[in-house]
Amino acid sequence: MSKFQCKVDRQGPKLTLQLGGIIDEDADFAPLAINGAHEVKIDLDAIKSINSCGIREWIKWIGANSSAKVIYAKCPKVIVDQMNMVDGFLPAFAQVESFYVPYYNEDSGAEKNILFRYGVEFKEGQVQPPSEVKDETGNTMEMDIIESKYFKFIKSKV
Amino acid sequence: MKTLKKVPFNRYLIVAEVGFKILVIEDDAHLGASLREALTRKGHFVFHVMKPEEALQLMTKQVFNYVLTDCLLPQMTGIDLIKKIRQEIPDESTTKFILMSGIYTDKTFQNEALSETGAIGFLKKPFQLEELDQYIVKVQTVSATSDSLQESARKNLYEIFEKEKVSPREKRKLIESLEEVDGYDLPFIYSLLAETKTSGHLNIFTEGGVVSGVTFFQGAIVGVDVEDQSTFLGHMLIQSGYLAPQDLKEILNDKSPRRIGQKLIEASKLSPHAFDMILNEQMNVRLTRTIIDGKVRVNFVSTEVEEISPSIDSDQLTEYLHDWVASKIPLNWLESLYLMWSGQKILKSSQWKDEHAVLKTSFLKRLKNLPEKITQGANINELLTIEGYDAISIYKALHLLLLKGLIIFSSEKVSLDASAQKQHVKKLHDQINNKESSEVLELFKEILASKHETEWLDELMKFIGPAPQDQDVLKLWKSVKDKFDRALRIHWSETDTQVTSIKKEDNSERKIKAIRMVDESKVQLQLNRYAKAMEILNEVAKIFPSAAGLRVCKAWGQLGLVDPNKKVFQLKEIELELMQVPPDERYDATYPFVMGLYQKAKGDFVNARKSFEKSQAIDPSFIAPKRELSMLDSAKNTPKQDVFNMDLKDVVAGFFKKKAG
Repeated sequence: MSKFQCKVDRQGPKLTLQLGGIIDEDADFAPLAINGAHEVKIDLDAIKSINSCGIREWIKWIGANSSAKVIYAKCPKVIVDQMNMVDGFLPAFAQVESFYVPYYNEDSGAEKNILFRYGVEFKEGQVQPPSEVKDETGNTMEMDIIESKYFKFIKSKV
Repeated sequence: MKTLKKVPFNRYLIVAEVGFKILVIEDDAHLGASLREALTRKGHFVFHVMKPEEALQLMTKQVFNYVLTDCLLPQMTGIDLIKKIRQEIPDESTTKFILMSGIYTDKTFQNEALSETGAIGFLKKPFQLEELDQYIVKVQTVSATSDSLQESARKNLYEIFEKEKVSPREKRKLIESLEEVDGYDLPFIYSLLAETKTSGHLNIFTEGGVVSGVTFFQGAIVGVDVEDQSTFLGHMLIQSGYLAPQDLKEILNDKSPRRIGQKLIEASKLSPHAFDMILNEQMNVRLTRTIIDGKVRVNFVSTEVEEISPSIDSDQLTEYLHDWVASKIPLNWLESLYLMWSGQKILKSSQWKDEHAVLKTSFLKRLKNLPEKITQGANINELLTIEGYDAISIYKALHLLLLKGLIIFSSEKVSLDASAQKQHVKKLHDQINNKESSEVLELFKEILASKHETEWLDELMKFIGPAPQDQDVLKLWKSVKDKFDRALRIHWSETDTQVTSIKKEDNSERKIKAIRMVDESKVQLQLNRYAKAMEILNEVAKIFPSAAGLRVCKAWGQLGLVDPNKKVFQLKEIELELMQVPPDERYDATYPFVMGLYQKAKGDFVNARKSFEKSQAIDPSFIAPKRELSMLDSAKNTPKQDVFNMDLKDVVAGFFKKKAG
């Protein structure tokens, strides 16, 4: 079971946070003060899961930011779900740089996460998925999500 | 076997307010190009073709949100083209068609063309772009503001009730597809997650912004996180009989920082197993609090979870499901849910087992020979006519059996013969007769789910069936139809926002009033003014049926008014009332006191005494149990404890309770 981890990289006014593991009641956001930075990039690639306590903690933490421009990068499905569903999880001052979309092939059962990047696979109000995604054996894969639900956050903001 | 609906994969999915994918079929190159340019400027993705076969070819490769077609095309009319597309293109069901013509402008022709093709509009050329633009926006706004997507996800979830086999992956996918559900859907969702033996967190969000969560480890519930964490641990220990009040007092005086459970176990006042049982009951109380009257959003995060003890396994979940269905889910919600299946045969599924724990639960036991009736292929309408079967027990028993997958509904739609239609129409008439228009639509919400509002009347008419020949039935049929008409007219004349805000305001006012009235009734009950108390409580049942304390107080009042000549029947009614007391309302002093009164009325003085003692231990200032204990003492007819006739819970509690030293 991977506990919450965070790697902080500060370069002048730019702060990069690499978060990983589980966001739950044990996740401590206190040392991750983002106020004071001009731009904060939060890399969520290694986040495995989030529970209700973690959601409450996240909203409290991110909502306390008053000035920085916040960028969410490499958001896994668990994070995208919360962005779509929970008010304040993706606040007005935050932008999404990239997020993962699960793909699936019904015959082989293969699963794969494809990174959608701003300006390439999505932009304000639009999603343009790759023309084809194939699994290891060359089978065409389909998105394993409900598009209208999963891409909802793109409607209002990116 | 039916397969689950698959969401069509749009090659270019546009999720913005603008940016639809539109195909224009117009043989006038100039007009076609102008339309393409103008619509592109509006942010849409527009393709223009001049011939029907080009359109057909393109549509086999791509899915369009809208197709605009001229009526007069080379080789084929626009009307025939739409028909051909509908026949030949598998993914066309999401596409909306708009016809346009500068020649066929006659109103009768337009109406016929619209009805033949199912197109959403007819534009007379030349037209202003705004006409088209407004039309597209209008349609888009309806779909954006309606909950059809959510309703359809929820409807798909309940389609399981017609399926013999659904794979764990399909079940998980159904749960993932959900977003907004009723609070009363949660027991079903918990049950499905338990069946799929899945691990992860189910996060639940209420409209008020409250976040709760339930954690599963391979299908077992290992954690419940709710806003209100109070769970009356001390009261639970006393009520369960695991702990004597004086032992609890002693432990509470110990100011060391250890947890209360740890202190009790270390002092040998409680066994670890008994404490685990109480912790599970604590989770049950917390889960009960998630099942609310209102909308909630859910999101399941599948993930590895640590195995934690204690946990709620499948067997225990069955017991709790019974508690939740009994106490939290109102009859009218179940009636609405099952309306669409009311005439369909109930079948035993492959999971049916005669010795299944569900069949031993109270609601099932109240319905004599229900398994036999199911074997004979009865439907809900027929069950409701059986003597001795009451609606509450029928709906709640069936809901439990469906939640556990023991029964399914036959997917064959039964065509009603004259006598069955008479029964069906009469039942509908009785159900909606005294209801407000909004309540009529609420009752039919499951049937109307995922249908566009403009199709509602047709859908309701399909449900009621054709006008019957029999004059008496026809009278009822007309009355039902008028009710539908009126409900829809009122619905369309009010905006959703107005209705919702009025409903919310009204709801909270009613709730406050109900709480005050329940308190008032308690005062009357303590003064033995049962008739007055019942008058107040019956009023509460009308204005806010889920008011806390209502059922316990009603049972108390009914017990005070028991007529010796009708005792057996009345005690059965009271038993039903007590069965419906929610788990989180069983841990104050009133519940064990009323249980004591019920046991006393049944002649079970041993358990009555225990219940009064528990009540007094929980709240020493509560006079009523003290009075009852004095009466029992003075009667001096307390029989010796008989373990063979004692409540099993008390016998078991006796085994686990440890004596100090």
